[in-house]
Amino acid sequence: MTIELTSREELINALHLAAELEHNLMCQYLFAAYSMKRSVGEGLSEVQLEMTRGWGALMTLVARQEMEHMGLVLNLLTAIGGTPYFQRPNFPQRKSQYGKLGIKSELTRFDQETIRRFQEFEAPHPEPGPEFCSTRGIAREEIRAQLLAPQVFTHRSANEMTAATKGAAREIEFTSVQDLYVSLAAGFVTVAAQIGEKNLFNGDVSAEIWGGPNTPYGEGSMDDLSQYGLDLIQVVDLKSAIDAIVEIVEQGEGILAPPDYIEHTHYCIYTNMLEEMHAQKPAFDAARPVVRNPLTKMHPDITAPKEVNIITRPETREIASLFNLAYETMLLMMLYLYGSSPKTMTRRVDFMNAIFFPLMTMFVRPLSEILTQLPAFKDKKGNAGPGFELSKDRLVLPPPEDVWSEFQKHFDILAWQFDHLWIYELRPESDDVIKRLRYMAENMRRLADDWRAHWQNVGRGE
Amino acid sequence: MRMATDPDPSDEPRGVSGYTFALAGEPDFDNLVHLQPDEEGVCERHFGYGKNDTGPRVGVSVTQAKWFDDEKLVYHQAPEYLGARVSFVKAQLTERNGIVIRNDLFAIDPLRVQVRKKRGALVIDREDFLDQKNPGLPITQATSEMLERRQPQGLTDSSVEVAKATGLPDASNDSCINNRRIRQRNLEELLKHTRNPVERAALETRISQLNILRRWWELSQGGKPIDRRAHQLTLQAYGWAVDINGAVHVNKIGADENVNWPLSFWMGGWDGDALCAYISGYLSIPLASEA
Repeated sequence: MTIELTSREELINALHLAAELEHNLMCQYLFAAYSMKRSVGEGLSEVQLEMTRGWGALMTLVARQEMEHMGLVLNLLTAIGGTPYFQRPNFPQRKSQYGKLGIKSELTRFDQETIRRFQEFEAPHPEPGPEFCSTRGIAREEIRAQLLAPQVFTHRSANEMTAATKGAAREIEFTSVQDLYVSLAAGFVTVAAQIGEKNLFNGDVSAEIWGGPNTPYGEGSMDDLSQYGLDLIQVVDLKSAIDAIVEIVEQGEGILAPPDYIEHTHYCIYTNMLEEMHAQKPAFDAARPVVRNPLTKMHPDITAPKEVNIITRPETREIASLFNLAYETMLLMMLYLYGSSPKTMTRRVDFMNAIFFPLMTMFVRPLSEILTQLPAFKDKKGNAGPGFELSKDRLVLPPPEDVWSEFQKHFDILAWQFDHLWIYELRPESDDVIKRLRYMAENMRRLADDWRAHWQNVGRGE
Repeated sequence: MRMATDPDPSDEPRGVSGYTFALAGEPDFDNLVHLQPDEEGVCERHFGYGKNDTGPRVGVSVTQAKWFDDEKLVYHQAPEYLGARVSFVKAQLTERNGIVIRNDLFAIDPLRVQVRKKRGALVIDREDFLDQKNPGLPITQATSEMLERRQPQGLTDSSVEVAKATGLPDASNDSCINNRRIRQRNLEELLKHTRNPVERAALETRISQLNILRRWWELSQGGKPIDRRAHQLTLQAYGWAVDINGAVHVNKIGADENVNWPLSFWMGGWDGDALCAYISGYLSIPLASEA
């Protein structure tokens, strides 16, 4: 059943919820992927290691596509005059946090229970039988027709939607992620008809981030995102808005996936992964002994405090804090990038060049992988992991004139912390974890110095 | 070149989210540019069963050698150097995912050139410094000018020169995709004759990676290039030109050690399944006046 969205405000609120969910799922998927064993030295045979790597590759692909979905949602928001949204409550949360969506927010290592939970997140509704992932889908035009067909709406008042995003008592009526997006598609059609397409799409579409051969962000990675299994489109009107939603639902649940693509949908990736895990004889544990929800501290917005594992090992906790600072810096930079404050194209590219490859791939991921190798506690077994902790209720940007220098402070602090980790005194330089941290320290120093020099030292790009 | 590809971090040891992998039974990536098959860390793969086991092999040698007679102002052949083996000692192609270099215009670092005669005698060994005043300068402290010396001038898509060098019938997208399909079929045939479970696991990963998945998200404006696993078969990084400026460790040919030695080369035809590319270039060595 579809929830009727009848105003710009309701669309924006629903898109905020969508952004929060995509962000939430992405963190959960990445946590599981980074918990996986990476060498035969961790007790896997060569064949098991190859199988594990294959699962890890798929998990990171799905997580990348969640990032892409979040990017599409942000473009949808921008197109209709909304503001970028990077908020989410800290992990873990009770299942009731997301109402009828039934999404459990927790960080758990890769195992069958975790993958089953992910499969449920991505499941089409009604959930299909076991033959679904080996069947053929339907053509994209039919997908579009289904999304745009008159919907059967579940009645609820507009006030409930507003309450849903004010953070207090959440009354989320959407019954699944699929339901949320189908409702959004119908809502875009409804509101465009009510107030006129041009009036609905009144946002600053040049503030969107999008890829493809005609991307305004230059050559390099953005002009061919498909090499990463992604496509970020610019939303400028009703057609492109529906295109964006079609892309999200066909990559995810797959109930609306084209022929030959169903097996690549998130739902089928997780379904097939579970089957492969079941089929392993002998069964093996592909993940490190990572504890659930390893955090540096308890946060006031956590609704399932008993499920938290506070990291007590000091040297590990220090690295977990460093991870959180890098993650929060990245989110703040994205908030600025997607925000409506005036900025030149050069400034946008400057920020993208710090976020999309350096921060994401050279710091956030390696720090996550290192944390899953380190003991979480002083007095019991279990490894740590990336907690994706947000220290404040709201991410707040500095005044526009201070943005560059404020991020300089972030990079300088990160660089200093990388250089002065306690773990350097506890392990030999030959230790693989230390070597990797030293490599990151060198890279963060370079990034901080080059930010100070306004990217004057980076080598020539195309 | 056994190295990770983005979005894997550049120190990723086995490959996860990119398209290059250290496979079952293979050692971790060493990130080094190996020009000779007997270098430590080289790990060559099979490309098919029986006569179909054909594909790129590691090995770079001198194909043309001559010296300039500055009295008669003519070149003379130097056949004793034909077949000599060229190495870049411990060289890496460095980008660090945008921290040092962006958009695949990799800098080569360190850069130390060795030439050995066919039987192994080392005749030339010289290194290049990013900064002559600070020979030990790490690449993460290099300025953009220092980096540019070690970068190619640019990238050429669908390079005919690359296609000719690597034996593709032409530089078209169709040829690239067809080449990957043939490789995939040959590996499937090899899999049928492979019993070792570790080798089978590695082959299955390679076969799966050679699925040039049709893109469903063709929503972005304009057409898209073909899958990078095929596209890079004819991609050329051209115009590396480095005047080798550093310490001379071996000089058995009477080279002038007080001047720079111009080195120029291109790389291309990257085969992500073979973890191998093609390189071609020139090294000019001024001779000392008494030589």
